[in-house]
Amino acid sequence: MSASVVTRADRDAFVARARSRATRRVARSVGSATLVIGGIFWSIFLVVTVAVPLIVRQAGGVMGGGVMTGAEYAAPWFGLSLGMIALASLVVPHVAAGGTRRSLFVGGLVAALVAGVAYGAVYGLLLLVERGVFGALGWEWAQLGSGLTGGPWAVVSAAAGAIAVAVYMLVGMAAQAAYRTFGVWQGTLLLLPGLALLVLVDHATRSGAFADAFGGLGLGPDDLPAALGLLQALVALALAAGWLWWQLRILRLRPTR
Amino acid sequence: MFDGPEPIYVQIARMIRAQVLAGELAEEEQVMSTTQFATTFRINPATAAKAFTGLVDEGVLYKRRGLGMFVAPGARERLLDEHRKAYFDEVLAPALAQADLLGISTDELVSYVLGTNGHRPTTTTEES
Amino acid sequence: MTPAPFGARLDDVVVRFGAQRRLTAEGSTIKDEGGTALDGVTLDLRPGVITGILGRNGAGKSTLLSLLAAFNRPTEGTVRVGAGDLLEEPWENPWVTANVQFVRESGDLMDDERVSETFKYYADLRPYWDADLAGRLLDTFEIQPRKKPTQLSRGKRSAVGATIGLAARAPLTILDEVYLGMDAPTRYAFYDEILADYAEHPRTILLSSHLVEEVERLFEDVVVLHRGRVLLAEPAEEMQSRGFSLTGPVAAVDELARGRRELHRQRLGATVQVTLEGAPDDGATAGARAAGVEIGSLPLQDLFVRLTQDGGSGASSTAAEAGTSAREGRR
Repeated sequence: MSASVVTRADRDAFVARARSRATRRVARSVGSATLVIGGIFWSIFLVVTVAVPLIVRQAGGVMGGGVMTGAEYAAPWFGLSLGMIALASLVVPHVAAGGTRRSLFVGGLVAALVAGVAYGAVYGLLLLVERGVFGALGWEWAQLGSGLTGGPWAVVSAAAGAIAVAVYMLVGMAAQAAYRTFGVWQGTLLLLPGLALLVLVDHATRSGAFADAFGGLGLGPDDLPAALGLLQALVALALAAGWLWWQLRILRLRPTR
Repeated sequence: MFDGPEPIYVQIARMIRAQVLAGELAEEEQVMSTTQFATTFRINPATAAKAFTGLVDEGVLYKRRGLGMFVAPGARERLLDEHRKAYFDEVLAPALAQADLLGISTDELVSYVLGTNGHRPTTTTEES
Repeated sequence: MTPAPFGARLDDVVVRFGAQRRLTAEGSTIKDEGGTALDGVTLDLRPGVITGILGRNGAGKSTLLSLLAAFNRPTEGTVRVGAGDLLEEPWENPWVTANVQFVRESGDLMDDERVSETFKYYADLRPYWDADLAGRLLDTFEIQPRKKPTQLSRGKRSAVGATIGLAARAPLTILDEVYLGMDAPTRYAFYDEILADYAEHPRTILLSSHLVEEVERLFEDVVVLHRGRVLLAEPAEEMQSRGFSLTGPVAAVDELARGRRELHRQRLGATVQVTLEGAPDDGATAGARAAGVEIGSLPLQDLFVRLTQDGGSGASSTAAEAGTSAREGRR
């Protein structure tokens, strides 16, 4: 038999190839799903952002606030549910196909970052579009986006949105993993630390649902400088990544019967 | 197939020997490969290989590198020789002992063999 | 290129599960009972052979096999898997996981995607994936890759699992009751494919099954698990020599069977078939021939049932003997 002797070097090369194959594939699977479905999501917002003011104008009305408020609230939660769904469909086939939890984590993290950057960029652009539409119609536009102060406003909002979407996606994946590892009761309890991370990133970026909800509590200054806020948001991102890794690294697939 | 009490590879070897003896497998004829054998009879290929290895050692089969297993020249003659020798010890002796036990006389046996008393059954090449 | 087959070694492995309530795909919750699934398993799995993993429901088969593929990790003890000297712990180790294909009856597919999408995923991760073989097997099993797993019957889902198991060409291939729901012709087609591909691409195959009669001849080694322990681990040939069967007239068979432990008895009119422990001696062989009794091989099923019987006289001593030889067989 030609079962040649396997050397340590063969083994190490094999492991390196297997790692990169699996990581790339997870990033591609999660990333492409997020981008494709996200494309539909943002296309709808683009149409609505332009069409609604025109329809209102046609009816002779005037709008005070823009449609993009909806996107600001919805996009991160959209990311969270996509994170949950992507991990749910992937985790078992990934392990069964010989992928490690680590490659699932790294691939998922990469996908969350890519999706975050893409969503953030589109969000920033649409803010500008909406402001332009309002301006063309001669309406006053109540400035949306991040409430952080200083820095170019649209870019700061885009960056804040990017980090928030990434955090929400990671927390969504972690919640899915927790349900798998810990079952229904503990899995639900473990939603709470995830929720804390969502509050943290919203608060740091001064955007999203929790920023409004907790705005009145006096947690930190009202006019947080953009650099500081985004730095805090990056800390939340790191914590979310750590939280997901903590869930995934202990993931076990129990016998199904 | 292969339901006897002996290990399956022993039964496989016996089957191939019987086929060579009966002339169903001619000398220099190729026998099934291990894989074909394994899938045909749904047995582990290693079991089939073990039977073939034994038959090569006995000189019934020989291996042609890269081509497969073939019936060795002279294999049938050798097997016939061996079986003739074994026939008396392993087949006839117990049969005669049994005849003794049942009180069948030597005369009766001889007349049976010569076909003078009743009918002599046509012999088959079935292996014992 | 065929990679070197992988073997495995387990030392004093214990696996305990906590009780847990989990959500099913349909949205209801089911309770997984906790308990000790494996209770001190020490076992060598030879590389390059087909090994049968036998045991009753709940004996720990799936738990044991899932350790080798890092679906789970042992609570105590060590598991090492690999080729040659490179035996390593499977958990989070691509050297093991990328070389081990564990197929469970459930198939482990992407539920909401076409079968072809799942196959693309496996193709991207599995270093030795053979897409041609995968396509051919899907044809054989009459599965349309455009369908989603939920559109397939249980038997077809099993066949998808079987296809993954073979097409992955993993140096350690584990098929855990993959035949469930398949009809008999499909099962035999599956066995034939296993043998044909194994002969062409030698590797280590672990096959767990309840249908012992159907698969016993595929095995070179056999492991019998019972209540989380190894009852027996030895070459199939040795296991075969632990007994034999006699078929013939009742009186004659009873006479020959006297003094031997009977594993199984089946009566068909005036004829009876009994399965006995031990090997037939020369006297018994001659006697059987004289009395018109046929001596046959030991149906592994009978031995398996006997070994894994709880209670009942004699069963425990049989198990104890077998356990002793399992330890000797370790080496």
